[in-house]
Amino acid sequence: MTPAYLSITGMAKAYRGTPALRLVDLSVNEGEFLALLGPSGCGKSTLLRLVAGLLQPDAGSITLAGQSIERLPPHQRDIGLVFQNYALFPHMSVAKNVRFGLSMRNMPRAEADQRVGEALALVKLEHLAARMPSELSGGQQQRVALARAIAIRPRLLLLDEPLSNLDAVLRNSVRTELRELHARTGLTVVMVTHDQAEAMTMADRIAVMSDGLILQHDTPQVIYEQPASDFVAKFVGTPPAAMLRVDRKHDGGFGLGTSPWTPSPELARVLEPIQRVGVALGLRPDHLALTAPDAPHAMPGTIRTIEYLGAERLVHVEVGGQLLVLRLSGDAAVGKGEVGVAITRVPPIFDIETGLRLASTG
Amino acid sequence: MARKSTVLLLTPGLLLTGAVFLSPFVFLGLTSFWTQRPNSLLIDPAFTLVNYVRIATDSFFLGTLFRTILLGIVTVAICLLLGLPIARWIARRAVRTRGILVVLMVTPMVSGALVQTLGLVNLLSLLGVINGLLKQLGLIDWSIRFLGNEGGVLIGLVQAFLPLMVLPLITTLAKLPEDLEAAARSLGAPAWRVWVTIILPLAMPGILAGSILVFFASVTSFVTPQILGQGKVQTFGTVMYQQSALVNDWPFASALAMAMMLVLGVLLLAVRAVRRGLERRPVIGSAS
Ligand SMILES: Nc1ncnc2c1ncn2[C@@H]1O[C@H](COP(=O)(O)OP(=O)(O)OP(=O)(O)O)[C@@H](O)[C@H]1O
Ligand SMILES: [Mg+2]
Repeated sequence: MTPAYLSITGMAKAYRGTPALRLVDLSVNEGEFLALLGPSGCGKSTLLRLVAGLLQPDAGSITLAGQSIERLPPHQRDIGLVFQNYALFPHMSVAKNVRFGLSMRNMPRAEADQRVGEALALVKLEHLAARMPSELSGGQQQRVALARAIAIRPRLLLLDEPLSNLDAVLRNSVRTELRELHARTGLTVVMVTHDQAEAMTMADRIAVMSDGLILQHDTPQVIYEQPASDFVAKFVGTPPAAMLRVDRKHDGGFGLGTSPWTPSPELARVLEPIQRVGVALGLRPDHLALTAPDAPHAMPGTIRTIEYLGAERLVHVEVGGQLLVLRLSGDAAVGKGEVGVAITRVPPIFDIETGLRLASTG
Repeated sequence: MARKSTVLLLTPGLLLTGAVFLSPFVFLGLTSFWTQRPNSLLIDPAFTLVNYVRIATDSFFLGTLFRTILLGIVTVAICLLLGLPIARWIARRAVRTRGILVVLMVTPMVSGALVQTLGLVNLLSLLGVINGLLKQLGLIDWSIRFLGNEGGVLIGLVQAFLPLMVLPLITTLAKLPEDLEAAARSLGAPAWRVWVTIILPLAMPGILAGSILVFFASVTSFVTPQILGQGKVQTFGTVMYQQSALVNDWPFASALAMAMMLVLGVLLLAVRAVRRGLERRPVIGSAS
């Protein structure tokens, strides 16, 4: 196997004794769009800053395009970084901001002019070249920051929550623009985000982080369908997966809470070999269907709330003390009260104690 | 209506303020155009420019003026060189730490110039702490003369007025958005270019304010050059003191004071012009 374009091994970093990154291994292929996804405070920005050279790791190594870079100062790394708050230079015009990296490389004037023009064209801001950053909207500032990072033709482009300061409408259009930009430039991109929908729609691969560790690193589809742990299952997807505890009875049967339950033969085949007291099923709407309460293999439940979303409705059903979410088409008739919930596909199954996925199903 | 009554209400206060603060000033200006009768304590209140002519033509006073301003400029330069890194370091601390550091820095200033200067004498004199230490370490055989020359006065001025530079710099630097330096570094700027292209231009309001404060404090200082100069370094402060308290020529001392104020006034106008120029570019504080 050829070594990855960007490869991070054994990376650890603590702030005054408090670990922010415990042990991180990550590899990114050339031209790939990777999303670093995780809740606030899990160490995403820390990892990005380590790669950019703005922080020194306590342990670990980084190679970029076959070169070991962890000892290079940031200004020699050729890595473009877009900050969460953009960090535009307030005393320089848009054009000067974009030109900054080129000036630092002592690029001849004519060539630099052309590069600045190209970079601004790429983010569709040529007409604002003479403005000062304080005269721009948030979305425009964000694009200037992007143009500034791209202008140096970086070996790697790092984006720290590039969309988090934009309103919902703008966020959607910038999402598409970022994807297009990635396709046009062929840049290798690592984007930090805590928004799972953003990661799912934009990235070729996603690295899910929690508490200074990478829990899973795979394509959006695998992350969605075969989450490595209950944390990933609950973090990814709209709505996220609900965890339903299934207990093994002494007589070999299965139970939901206190009541016995007979799973469908398909599901029983997967559950049968598991020699544990309890497991958790990670159930998404696509695993579930409403049935009559007394249908075979159905789990008895009570409808709690119904969310109307236009084309569809989300039905929240309480089963064995857990709220499950089902999807119904907008016109299907449903009332409140007792119903049955059928599991129509084998869901991912997790160990109750470790949270790790057990069966290679789901 | 309201305006009128406000003015009326303020009148006593304004009169008092005028009497207390303005009248000595006016009197100083008047006196500078009078003359002291020789060998007498009496003043001849006849308008004359003779004091100013004397200042403008006597090389001793011109030299003193020049030396005072030069000392002021060098003090500002040294305070800038020391103050910028100190202020940047402090501005990056957490707000609480920053507060504690500022208090620590201001405390000696509040204790007055005399205490500090006498402390410096202890440190710097021929038999003082520093010479003693250097001898103990075997670095020197003979004491270094720190006092009684411009160097000693300069050390004193910098020590006394460095906080006046650091405080406005902290205020300016702490207001800057985060990550500007990190952005510059990642775009390819080595440390010195970060200073030149980012920190210095953005710190300019603080640099101007601090420089004015330090310069004014330095050229008008009296205690520091008097004590650390040991009578061998003449500045405007010490000469004014001699003329008023020792020679007893109050009119001439007043003229010296007026001359100093004139120089400072012109300087202030010049700085204001520069600042106007800076403000024509969008200001940092109003950004974002
Ligand atoms: N300079 C610092 N000093 C001390 N602790 C820090 C520092 N920077 C970050 N931390 C801590 O390290 C942990 C990881 O921070 P980091 O900024 O990498 O999180 P993040 O995933 O980027 O979060 P967010 O989504 O909120 O930006 C957090 O617990 C944070 O409090
Ligand atoms: Mg962050």
